[in-house]
Amino acid sequence: MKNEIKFIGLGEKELETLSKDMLLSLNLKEMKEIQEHYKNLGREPAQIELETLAQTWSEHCKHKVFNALIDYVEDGKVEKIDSLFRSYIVKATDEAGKKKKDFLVSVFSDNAGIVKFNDEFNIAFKVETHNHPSALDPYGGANTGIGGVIRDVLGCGLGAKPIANTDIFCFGEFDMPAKDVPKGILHPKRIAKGVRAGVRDYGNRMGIPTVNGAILFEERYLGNPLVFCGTVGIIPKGMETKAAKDGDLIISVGGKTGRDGIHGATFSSIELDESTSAAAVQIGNAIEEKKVLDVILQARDRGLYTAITDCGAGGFSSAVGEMGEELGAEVHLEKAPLKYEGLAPWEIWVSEAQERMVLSVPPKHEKEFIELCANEDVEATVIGEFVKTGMLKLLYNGEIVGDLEMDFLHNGGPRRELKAKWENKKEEKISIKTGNLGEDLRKLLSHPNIASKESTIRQYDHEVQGGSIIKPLVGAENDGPGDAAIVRPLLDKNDGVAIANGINPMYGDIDPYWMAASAVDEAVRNIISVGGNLEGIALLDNFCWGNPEKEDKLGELVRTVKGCYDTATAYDLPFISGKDSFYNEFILKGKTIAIPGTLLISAIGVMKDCRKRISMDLKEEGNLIYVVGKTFNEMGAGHFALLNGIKEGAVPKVRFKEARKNFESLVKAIAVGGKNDERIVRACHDCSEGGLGVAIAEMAFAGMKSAEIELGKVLQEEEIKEDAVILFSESNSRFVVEVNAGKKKEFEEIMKGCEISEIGEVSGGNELAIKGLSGKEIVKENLSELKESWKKTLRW
Amino acid sequence: MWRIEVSLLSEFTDSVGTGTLSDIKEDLLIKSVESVKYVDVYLIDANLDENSVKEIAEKLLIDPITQEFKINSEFSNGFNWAIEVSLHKNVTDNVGMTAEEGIRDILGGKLDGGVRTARKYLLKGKLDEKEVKRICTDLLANGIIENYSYKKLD
Amino acid sequence: MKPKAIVLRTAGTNCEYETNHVLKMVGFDADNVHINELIRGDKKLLDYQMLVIPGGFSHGDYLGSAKILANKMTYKLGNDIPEFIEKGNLVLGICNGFQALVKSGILPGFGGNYKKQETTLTMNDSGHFQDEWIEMKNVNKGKCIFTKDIDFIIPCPINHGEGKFVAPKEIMGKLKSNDQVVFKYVKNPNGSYEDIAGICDESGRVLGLMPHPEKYFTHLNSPQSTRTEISNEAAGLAIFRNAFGYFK
Repeated sequence: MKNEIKFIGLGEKELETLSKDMLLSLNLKEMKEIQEHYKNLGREPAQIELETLAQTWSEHCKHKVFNALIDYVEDGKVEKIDSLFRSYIVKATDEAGKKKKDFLVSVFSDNAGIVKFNDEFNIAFKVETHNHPSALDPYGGANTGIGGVIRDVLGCGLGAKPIANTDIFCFGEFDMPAKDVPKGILHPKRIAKGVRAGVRDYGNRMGIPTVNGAILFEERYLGNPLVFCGTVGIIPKGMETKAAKDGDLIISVGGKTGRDGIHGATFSSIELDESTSAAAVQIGNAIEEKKVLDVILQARDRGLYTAITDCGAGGFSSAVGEMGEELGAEVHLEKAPLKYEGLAPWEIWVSEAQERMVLSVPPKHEKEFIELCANEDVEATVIGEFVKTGMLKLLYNGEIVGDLEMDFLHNGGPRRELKAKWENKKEEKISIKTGNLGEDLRKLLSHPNIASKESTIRQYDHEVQGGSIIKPLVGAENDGPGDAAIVRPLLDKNDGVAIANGINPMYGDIDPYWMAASAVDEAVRNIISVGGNLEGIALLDNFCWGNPEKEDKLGELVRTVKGCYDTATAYDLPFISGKDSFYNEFILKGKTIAIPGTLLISAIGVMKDCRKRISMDLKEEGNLIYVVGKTFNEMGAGHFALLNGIKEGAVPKVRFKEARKNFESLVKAIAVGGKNDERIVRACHDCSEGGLGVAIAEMAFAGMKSAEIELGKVLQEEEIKEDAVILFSESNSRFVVEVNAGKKKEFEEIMKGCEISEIGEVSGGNELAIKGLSGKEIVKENLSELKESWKKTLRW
Repeated sequence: MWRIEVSLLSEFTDSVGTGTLSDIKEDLLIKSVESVKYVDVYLIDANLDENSVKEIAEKLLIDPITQEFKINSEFSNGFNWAIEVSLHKNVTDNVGMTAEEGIRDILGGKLDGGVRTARKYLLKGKLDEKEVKRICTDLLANGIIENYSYKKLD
Repeated sequence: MKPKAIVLRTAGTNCEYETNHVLKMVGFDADNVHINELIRGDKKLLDYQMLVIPGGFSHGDYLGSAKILANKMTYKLGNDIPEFIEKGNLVLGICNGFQALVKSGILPGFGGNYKKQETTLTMNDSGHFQDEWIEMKNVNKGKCIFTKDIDFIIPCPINHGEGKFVAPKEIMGKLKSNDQVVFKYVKNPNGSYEDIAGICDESGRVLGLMPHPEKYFTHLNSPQSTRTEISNEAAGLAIFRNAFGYFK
């Protein structure tokens, strides 16, 4: 065969060197298994075959860490974990699936997870990361990140129509002095602005509303920002499955192929340094992708193809390999339309050029399909066919350049064996001296993680497609922080979908288990706060981690996954898709810095009647203010602690049983009533970063209505003696709720047996007034000034 | 090769220019820059006569109400430095590709050649070369995907 | 028979879904048609009574908003749209559609010359895309058929980067004396001259505006609907109902 690589005679050292030189990112065990395979075949592998194996076996495509055998040691106790993915994530989904009949449509098996929406449609959801490219070229990296996840949704089942985007970013500290930023690393503010513009210019052009997100700043993201891009799609019932048939043509649709992003899949498992390959960076073309979207949805509805997938990591090699897994395929690489001359066959095969989809089209539909594309100026080219041979045969100008067994490609490869350890720390409850709480509150509101994200939100179109029900910014002046967004994708129906996220990497510094529990709890709280319910919620898990070969890092991951499992099962919530990204590390002054192990939980909440929506802004004078949930002394790794340099303290936990009861009753209370004044609950806000203090302040200035509350009335753990703790503890599973003054009895009746406390009321004037435990007024702040504290930080 | 520069007429707010100015002052802390003017540059590598190029500039590349253009000559009056940023050769140039389609619409048929674009920033102020270079590397150009060049104007 | 509306799309159009929905809601038959279908002659503009050019980023807006689409309308459709207007039909351009009407010269269309660009929509003073709800008021004195009897404020979103309406002084004067100014912002979001949000042609049958009334077709769309009770007959519908009423 052409371009054979000298391989089967190599020793261990030489195999390792070869893997490194060819940028295969395959370890010795994997290289040896490939060697064994070719020894049995009695020939050397072709270059393109090694490239294909490297792509298909890459961390990005195969999730080797999540499927590994792990020796986990917690406080000296050994536990053997046979796949984190199956033992926890899939298990949680299986258990939830048993309780939610018909809800799960397609989980973990496709580009996106799919759940039931209504009798005619299902909902697909996927969140991806695009971290390394965004570090190098923030604009292009974010561009292609969002482009990629949109294609995931477009390529799931027979194709879902994207209806909403969500974007979560983690950056270094934006106000870091420029001189402290090392060479080769872009300033965090430049990265932030570039990422924002990249998401804006792609998402807006695609005509997909960006309705939800979060932005976090922390020094350990300096050289390795995180860019999570998510897309929700809607797909007609019955279109969730696909299968290429023997004899179907392989058609490439959309962009041309260039050298873009070669080795992107393997690149994502290499630590960043100054010399990182520039080939990994690309710029997207949203209009090309929009054209592809337009023709594919038409072709789908005409039934012109049998299967579809996106060209993501690994390009054609992954797409064709995946679609032909059960069949076999023959590809004529010279037929792929190229951006420019001079690409080697293997480069065509693994290129990650953007805006391409691969479809299997029965020959009888070839003409109609290609015409449909041509009519809208979309290039569609037959590059081969699916044939039932079990082989992946690659040709270039008639010559065979690669011939791989599908079975070896997809089922070969050794499992990874890894070690992990975790030591539980002794928990310290701290006492915090209460100082000037009004000033503390203003400082918290100005903290970049809490501060208004309006300057970013308003650059994103959240209205396009006409389905925006609860917007990212709400309230009297349309500038308060909405908890979750609600979208109504079918304009003549009232079914809605709420979209939210939970993320709090700092808690992981104390215990990743509770970080995970908190993230799930937060995402759920957000959905409930706008009128969603537990039955309709499905979760996605995205893990961004450091090097999993380091025992302590992997130990943190195991703790996190266990937290995910316990919390999801406590609420009967399924994970429907997810993604992991490892080796998020960078070199700073010769030292490797790992990002904080970061779990993003994204949630969608299907609502049967989105008219039951509710917003977080205070509505009417005289209404009562309640806290749902109990407040504990849990100041550890919270924002008050961060602001004041406090390292100790207990991390917020989740009391699953109590939380679930609170959630279920609150959902019922929120659902009562039709017109605004018939509703029991007029406003509901999740208590998260900055605790009760920040939550009530946000509600007051969002509604521009005064609030008077008393901390002594807040249901709290007995030993709390400090106002600051009650005000700023970030205990989970809590909400602040505005109850219609005339419906107090009904509210308390529904909430019977739950942890609730009436803490004050909506009053006249323009102030937030808080009485402390002593009964004396400890906070009296003007709402406009509080709002300004909250708005000023990220006005750039 | 035809070079067409497009610039806003002076009576209109150059929001790219003023945005860049505040980024230089606020993020790079280079306070000596007084103003920035932004210019779009189109490089048409095709066998076209001057009349066609003029038509392309008038009908496609400018907004006749707010912009003016120059063919094969440069805007530079009253500025001290010019910085030009363009994408590396193999990086997708969306603006250039769109211009190609627009030219085909106007000329009615094929375009024998291609269009690449560049962004030009005219800077006014007492800046030294080191500062100009920093503006390039730390703000305007990303070496991973872009080339930059600068020159002093007199 | 229902009047037929054509929702014209091209690469990068992205508001055709909700625009089509609202047209059907008020009684039109509405088809989404790709401009290539008109260029090739597969579909005929004159088979319709109303042309709607919806919002989006046609061809990416890379050379200035709607520039390529405007040129396609001028160079590829030739006289189709002017003829369509002269026959008494309606044209509505929203956001990117307004930009296309202005840049092709269909608006303001002084003296029935639908091919001369006299005004423009340029970059917002903010320098970037903005998404927010605005309020607009009808200031037209009776020429524009789309705003007949609209004496109330219409709240709806703007979603644009290039929405600042600009016109030379004498053109502005002419627009006013001809009663071609239709909508003004209550509070100017983008620096538009004289707060102008929308204008019509001399016939009153061609309207272009930057805000998106089609995104306010139910009280649920309103950001204030959780605070105050809002009529189910959302204010954004009025423009479309007038268009439909024109054919009764």
